[in-house]
Amino acid sequence: MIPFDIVYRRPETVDEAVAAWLSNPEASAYYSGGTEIVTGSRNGTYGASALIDVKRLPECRARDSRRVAEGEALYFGAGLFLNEIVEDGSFPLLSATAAKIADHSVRNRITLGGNVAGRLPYREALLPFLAANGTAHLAGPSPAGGVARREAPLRELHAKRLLLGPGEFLLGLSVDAEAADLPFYRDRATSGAEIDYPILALCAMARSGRFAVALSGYLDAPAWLETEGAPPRARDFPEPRTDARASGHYRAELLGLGLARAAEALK
Amino acid sequence: MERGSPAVGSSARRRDGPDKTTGRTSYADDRRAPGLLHAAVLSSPHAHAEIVRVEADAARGSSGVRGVFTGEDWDALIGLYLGDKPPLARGRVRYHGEPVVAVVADDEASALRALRLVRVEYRPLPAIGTPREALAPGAPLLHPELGSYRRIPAILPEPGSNVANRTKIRKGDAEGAMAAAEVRIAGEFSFPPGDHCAMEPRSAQAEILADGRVLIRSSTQSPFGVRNLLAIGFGIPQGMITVTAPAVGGGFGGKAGIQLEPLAYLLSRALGGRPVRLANTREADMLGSPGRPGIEARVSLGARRDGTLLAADIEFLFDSGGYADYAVNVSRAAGYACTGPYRIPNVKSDSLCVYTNHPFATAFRGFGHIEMAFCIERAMDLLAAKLGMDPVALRLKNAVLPGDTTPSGSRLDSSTGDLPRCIRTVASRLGWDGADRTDAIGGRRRAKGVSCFWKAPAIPTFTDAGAIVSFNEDASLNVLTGIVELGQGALSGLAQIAADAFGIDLAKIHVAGEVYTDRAPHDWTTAASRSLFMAGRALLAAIDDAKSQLRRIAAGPLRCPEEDLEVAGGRVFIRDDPEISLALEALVLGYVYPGGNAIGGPVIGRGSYIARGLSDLDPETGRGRPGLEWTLGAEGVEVELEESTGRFRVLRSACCMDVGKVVNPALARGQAVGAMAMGIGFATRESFVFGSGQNVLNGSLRDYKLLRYGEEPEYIVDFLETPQGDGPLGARGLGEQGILGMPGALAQALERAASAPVDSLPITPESLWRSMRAARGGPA
Repeated sequence: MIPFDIVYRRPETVDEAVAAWLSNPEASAYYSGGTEIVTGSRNGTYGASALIDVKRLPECRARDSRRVAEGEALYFGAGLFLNEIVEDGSFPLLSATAAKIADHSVRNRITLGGNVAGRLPYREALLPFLAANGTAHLAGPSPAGGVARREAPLRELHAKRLLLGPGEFLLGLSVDAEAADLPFYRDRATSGAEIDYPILALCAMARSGRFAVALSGYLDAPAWLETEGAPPRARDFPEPRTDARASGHYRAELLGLGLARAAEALK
Repeated sequence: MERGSPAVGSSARRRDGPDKTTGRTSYADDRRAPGLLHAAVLSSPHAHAEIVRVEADAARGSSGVRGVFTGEDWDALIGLYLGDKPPLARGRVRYHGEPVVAVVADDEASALRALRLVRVEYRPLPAIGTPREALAPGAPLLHPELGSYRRIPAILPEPGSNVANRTKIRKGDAEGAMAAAEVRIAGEFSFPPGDHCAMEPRSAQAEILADGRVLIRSSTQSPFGVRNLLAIGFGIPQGMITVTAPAVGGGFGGKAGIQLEPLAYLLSRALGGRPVRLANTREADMLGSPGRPGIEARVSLGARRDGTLLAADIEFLFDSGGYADYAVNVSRAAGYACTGPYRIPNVKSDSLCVYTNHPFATAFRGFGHIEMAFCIERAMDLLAAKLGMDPVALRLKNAVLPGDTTPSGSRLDSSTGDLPRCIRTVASRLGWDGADRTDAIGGRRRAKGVSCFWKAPAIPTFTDAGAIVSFNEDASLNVLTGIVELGQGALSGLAQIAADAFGIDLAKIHVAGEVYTDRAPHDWTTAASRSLFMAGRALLAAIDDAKSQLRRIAAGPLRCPEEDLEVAGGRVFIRDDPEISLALEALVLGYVYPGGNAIGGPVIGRGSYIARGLSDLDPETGRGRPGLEWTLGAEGVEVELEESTGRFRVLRSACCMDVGKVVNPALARGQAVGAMAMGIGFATRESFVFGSGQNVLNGSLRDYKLLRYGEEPEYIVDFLETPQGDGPLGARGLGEQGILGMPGALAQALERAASAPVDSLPITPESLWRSMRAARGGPA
């Protein structure tokens, strides 16, 4: 059981959500799925006691195609459940990647935003967007009062975590429609059980001689590399982690094999 | 007259199925006494540390708190066979997760909030991580007071060391026979401790009434065991304690001892007898409450060149963790079963239960026989390789037969299962075609592995069971035993036995679901795969008793000698003139003559069974008869391995065991398949991973992975029915056996597929990858 009282607010608009956060910045947190929050609150590693449920905001539930400067983009709201994304299919690499996160029952509750903005270091739903050079759509308090919205390339926004400003939250992720359709390679290895965090999750895409690879489970956060002419090699990435699930040596071996298979598949 | 439909041998639907699958079953934590107080427990983050100071004042002052307690509050030491464990840690903690402080409050949230205010200062001590470290000269003594602990005579601790028990087998002349053997092998095998991960975490409620009676409600496999240990531990007469055991959501041995009940009792006693609830979170269930032991083992075998086994020299070092609990008996059982089901005339074995700073161990499905089987089966495979012999042929050659003796010298009688036929059945099911064959399909190799197993219930020599049968107006039967329904379907099996013995429809048998120790007949414990055997025998005796009462009552109105009467099909009738009869309804609550005089009734059948012919083990040689009935069998797997990564799948798994009589085919297959699944999990992932300080790194289900639907192989299960002379309807126990051979079979198959050695568990893709690299001469 979670032994402390929680204030739960469910705003209907982005403005209401930001206002709720501003009313109690120290204790507030935006959330959508909440699976990590339950575990963390139970075991004492998470303490936000004013939760702002954003998964039902229209911008967070949207799944559409929209016109952008470069052509057309596919937009995925942060409040979409992973199983909805699996079934959607308009970005096949994303559907295939989402389908391997957790298990079917939990995917009914894990949201795109929760997976991508959470504290666990895996964030596998981010990988297709990193590989495809996608965009994050954000909202937060404006210094002038009211709400400010912005877009940022995910590759710049995500270092160890999403670099969000105070009171900012993720509305959704978008990818250009052409990139969503590109041939891809993906693989996922665990320490044994199929339903488990990855020791290596890999998404790779190729477009006009450029190769993009995004990884999770290999370091202490998702990482990406884009190369010209030939795909990256294992040693182009930093040294892999060693932890209870696998050694760095084994991870490095799997990455080498995965990249070789990706190169073969994307020739 | 009506003839009941055949019950034994049919897959009758289990009675508890509908409630269980719709979430209506009441487990221990689902009923709460009025005015219940809630306890929350703070556990140790260290594997070994001195408790320097506990600051509890802030917690005591927190709202809703009734009391805050530490190990200093009581002097008690609890244990099943060796009294070594305080209910809360005293002076020091001996494993990661050991309970240190208990807070009792009006509700759960208040208790947990107060718990977060408690501060404990520890001074970490060097932590022992393996049995060999614990036995090395100069190792810290985890139980300096070992010599003063209360114990039963069969347990032999070695004060001044970390040995909680040593079981010796000295059969024949192992040294001489080994030296004379034409071929010898030696191997070392090991695996770490792990957890049962039953679906239901443990919980207990304790209350003391104004007249001093103690009421306990607990998720326990052993209501009478809990009663007795509380009585002995706290000086309360057994008759003043009532333990209620409702349906249990999976036990697997983890609930067979005494767990949360002593602490719940002490908390209630400290608070004027008010009812107190103590319930494990999943994490506390995994770490705080006991799991299963680990092992380090050395096995040497000596044989003739033709494969005939001559000698075995075995050392089992069980990693029992910080306390001994059931593990002293687990190591003992592994000792007297140490050869596996093979004929070995000369045996020297030492099986030790060793303290370490790991979470402590209790009974687990297989009880020493699963640990032993892994080591022996691996040793047999080393021998087969050295002999250049097919591993199945080696096992067939040495398989025990009636007339052979166990390591304890007890003779296997005519009730011994047909192990050679079990082996041949499994080999045939898997299409075994010789040891060297591995098929390569697109970068993947397939291979098979076969192993053997045996187990007798590891029970006290005086293990007992009872049954009471009473009747209702409609001549349906009520059956009362001390057996707890854990999910294994024992109560359904007993109902089938009763229906068959009484000759009436299964729908007319009502087996009581919850056990109350103040009204059920005494029963040792629901464990060791002996419940159907022993309670079944008691039930048959009770039904016989009921029938003789019915004959006596009917003899008057039917005007005939009792011995001319038969009871079947819902009637009592003259055997050679069946039309002269009375319906059971007219007799079970007494017979009423026309005119009103009544005689006899109510009919109450009673039956008892106590283990026959068991004896203690000689402390020097291990000679004795500890095992009631041995259920033997073989199992095997086919695996597919991706050589580049070590990733593998278990494609098929076959098991054939000789069970004497299959009472309910669906339940029997369910037990076998469930155990096989548990064996795959055991061998390939379900183990604790320890940090450098011996704290557990995977103590929650996010990190401790169980086998799931979708990951399972195709299961092929066969049963043989060589009758067990003293079993009910010729049946033997079978609940555990399916797990025993899986680690050995998987290791053999994966070793064959990888062409690299496998001598420890868990077998993971990385462990296979490392083994393959080392075998090919690369860096590990």
